[in-house]
Amino acid sequence: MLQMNSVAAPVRPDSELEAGYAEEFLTFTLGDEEYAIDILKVQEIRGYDAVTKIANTPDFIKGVINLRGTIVPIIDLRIKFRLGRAEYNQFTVVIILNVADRVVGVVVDSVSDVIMLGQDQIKAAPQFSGGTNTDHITGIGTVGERMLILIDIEKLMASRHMGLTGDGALQ
Amino acid sequence: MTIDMSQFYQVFFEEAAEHLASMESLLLALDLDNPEAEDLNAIFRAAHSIKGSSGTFGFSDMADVTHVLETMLDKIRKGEAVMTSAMLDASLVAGDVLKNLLAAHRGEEVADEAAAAEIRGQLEKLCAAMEAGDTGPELASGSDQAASASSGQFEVSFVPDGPAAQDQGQLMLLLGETEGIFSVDLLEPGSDGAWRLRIKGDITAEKLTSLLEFVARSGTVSVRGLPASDHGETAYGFFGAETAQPSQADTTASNESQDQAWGLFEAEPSGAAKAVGAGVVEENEAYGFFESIVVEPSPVGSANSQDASVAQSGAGAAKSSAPVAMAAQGSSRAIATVAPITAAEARKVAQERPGAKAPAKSGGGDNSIRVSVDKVDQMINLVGELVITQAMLQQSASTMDPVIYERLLQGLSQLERNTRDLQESVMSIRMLPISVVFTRFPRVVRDLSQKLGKKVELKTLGEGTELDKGLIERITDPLTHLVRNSLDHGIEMPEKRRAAGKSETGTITLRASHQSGNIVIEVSDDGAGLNREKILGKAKERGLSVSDAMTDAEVWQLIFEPGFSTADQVTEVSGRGVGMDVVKKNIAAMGGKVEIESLFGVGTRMTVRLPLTLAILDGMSIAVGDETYVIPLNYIVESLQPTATQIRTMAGSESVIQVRGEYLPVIPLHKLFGCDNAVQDYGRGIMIVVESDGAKAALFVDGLLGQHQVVIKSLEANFRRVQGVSGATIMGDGKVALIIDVGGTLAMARGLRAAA
Repeated sequence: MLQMNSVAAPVRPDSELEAGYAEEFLTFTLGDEEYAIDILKVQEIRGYDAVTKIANTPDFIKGVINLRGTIVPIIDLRIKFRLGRAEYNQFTVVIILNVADRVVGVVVDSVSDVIMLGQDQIKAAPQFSGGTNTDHITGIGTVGERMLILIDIEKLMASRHMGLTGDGALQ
Repeated sequence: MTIDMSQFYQVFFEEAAEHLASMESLLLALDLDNPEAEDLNAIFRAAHSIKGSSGTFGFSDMADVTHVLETMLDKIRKGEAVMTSAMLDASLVAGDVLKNLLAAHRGEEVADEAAAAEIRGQLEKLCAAMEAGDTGPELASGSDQAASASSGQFEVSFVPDGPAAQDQGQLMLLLGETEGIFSVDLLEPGSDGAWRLRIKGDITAEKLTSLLEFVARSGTVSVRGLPASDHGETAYGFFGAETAQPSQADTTASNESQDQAWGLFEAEPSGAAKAVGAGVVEENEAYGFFESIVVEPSPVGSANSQDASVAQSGAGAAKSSAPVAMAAQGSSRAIATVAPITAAEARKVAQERPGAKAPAKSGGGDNSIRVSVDKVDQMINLVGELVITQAMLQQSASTMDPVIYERLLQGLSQLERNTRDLQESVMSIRMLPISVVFTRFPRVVRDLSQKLGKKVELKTLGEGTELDKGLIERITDPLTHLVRNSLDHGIEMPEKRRAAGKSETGTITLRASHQSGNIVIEVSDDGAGLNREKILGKAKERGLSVSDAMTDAEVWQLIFEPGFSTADQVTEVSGRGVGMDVVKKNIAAMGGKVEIESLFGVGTRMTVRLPLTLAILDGMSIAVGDETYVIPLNYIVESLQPTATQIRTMAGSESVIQVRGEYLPVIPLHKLFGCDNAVQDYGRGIMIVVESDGAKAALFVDGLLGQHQVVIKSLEANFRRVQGVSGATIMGDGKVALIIDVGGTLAMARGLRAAA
């Protein structure tokens, strides 16, 4: 079972800091798309366990799990973004995030690696017309042939669309 | 050279707050016509302790106010003047001013210097009036005799503390300051670190001890009265406050005193074990490990030849020994167990004067240490985890062969018992008696009734009822509001009451009790009661949807609507319509409910129901499809297996079940919570009859799994409120189960029905 408890933030060599603003990202895939999030927001990565369903919540909220005594909600980003097939087996990965003073788990297809992105590797996100909500996309990163979609996971999780916050009684 | 006192500030703040609180409650309880000498003494002591310590810590503004207050109280205490209601009021205001100053020193409030100056002037005037006026009859009570007899010569020993310990000059300086008041002779700067002094002057043992407390290491002060040659009657009232250090126990002294007379008391060392305890528990906890016990008088003649007056003196001395013990401990959290002397008369006197028993009572209950709430909460959390782990083990072991694993299973059941006991005792740490809240109401009622010109008597019942500290803190404001509300809207003006044939004095009753896992607090008054017509009229005015057909209970709930007020004009006290909705919201946030019963012209009763604690509940776990839920046990009336004939349909789709002559709506939980693979056939499942807010319903579930105590975990910490769910818990197998909010679930079902 895939379990990397507490991904420690590696020490950045001074030379890199001098070279410019560089940040570390955790990359994961949803369907064919590759995403990157700030590694400091990640608490741990674990396998998918049975969840306890919560009635009358959107389908992408899978339910809650017991993470060492804390009740943690689990969100399936594949369902939220309609990417990939939402299957649950021993390879399904949950990234436990620590955002906005909350602990939240997100289900993704797979976790790829941890990479360092310099300022020069990050391009601004293109503006889309129409209904696509891109508020949480902070930019596009390029590493060789790979295109990484940089998302502000904190903003995404705190947004009202996620239904994680606010009064549930309002539905 | 100054001693750095800042490290002791926190201790001072806490102690001063305690003294202020006890002073206020004593003042409020005081019967002006017939004041108890012991109460007057206690009030004086509280003021004196505040003055002493605030002076020492350099809070001169507080010391100034208390000084004048103390002067006045001292005269009253000595019987030179009689406490008048003006003095009582001034003392209460002085208490308020001191609280404000204290808060200002803590950095919480802004010091109101004008108020301080004003009350000082007022008190000074009262003192002056006292001196000019009557000299007052000398109250020759036993305690006074004892006090005056004890002034004179003392032999003192103590171990200096803090900077003074390193610096003899410092100590001498300190003692030198006292020179004017009395003479100090240094007997020996003890080789073991203890100093022995002979002090002569117009001071009581009590005062001397409290003075020395500031320089001495706590628990080491020993003050022993010396027989002054010019005192004819050395008989009564010499105390020996012994130290906690067994090595210093001065046995000869106690023998001497015994020989001298009856009624000699002595604060005895409470034994090495406790002394060690005092050493381990730090700083502010170090006080108060002595017990002062009564040395029985020599039996000669005590039974027959001595008349009541001797016995009374004895009792008086018994009383005055308590202050010494208290002073020796430097705190009102004393443990003075003063028992009356063996003489039958003395016991009789003590019984006639209940005040004499007060020190003993306070001694028993206040044997406490201060621990931060965070530490307790952490412990509660850990115990919660332990309970979960234990349940998990229990569950894994349930499949084992009891013959092979007999010892293991025995151990596990032992573990279960121990965990449960541990959990209970840990939970009880957080429990406080509700008297903590109730004690503030006499003041609230007194002030408000004076302001409104009403006559009100406050009765409190069930002060010993315990509830969680967290609840105590949060219930105070809503309760205050309910009491003010009763006073303002409930109780009528005296004339009106007389016209209605009631006694002029209205009664507000606060009653707390435990009822089936709940704390029930009632605020009732014998006032005018709620006016149904007026409330309905106001509600219509405000455009709320109301009808004349509403039940009384529904009408009363209207007063909890935001902005609702039936007061014709806005007063300082109430009428703005803010408050009652906040009260309801705050109580609901604690998982509680407010109910109102009222009869026009007779009175109103507001009942607040709260869960015992916020952290643990007794629940029934149930299965619905693939899911497990927990229903709080106190909502469950009964469970039954329905027969086909019990279930009928109504209006085509709705089912009702007939239980003991009642028709209850059936709520299939699997429909409400959208569970898969649930039992659909009513004949194959279980009906759980629940009651909430007086409404009953039958929840249809697949089956009952068992009864547990569950640790409530918040869903909101990482998620949000979910309708119909009050929280979550972790079951024995590590899975999460949701706890059903019965009230919310019934409301949800009603909503579904309305939508259908």
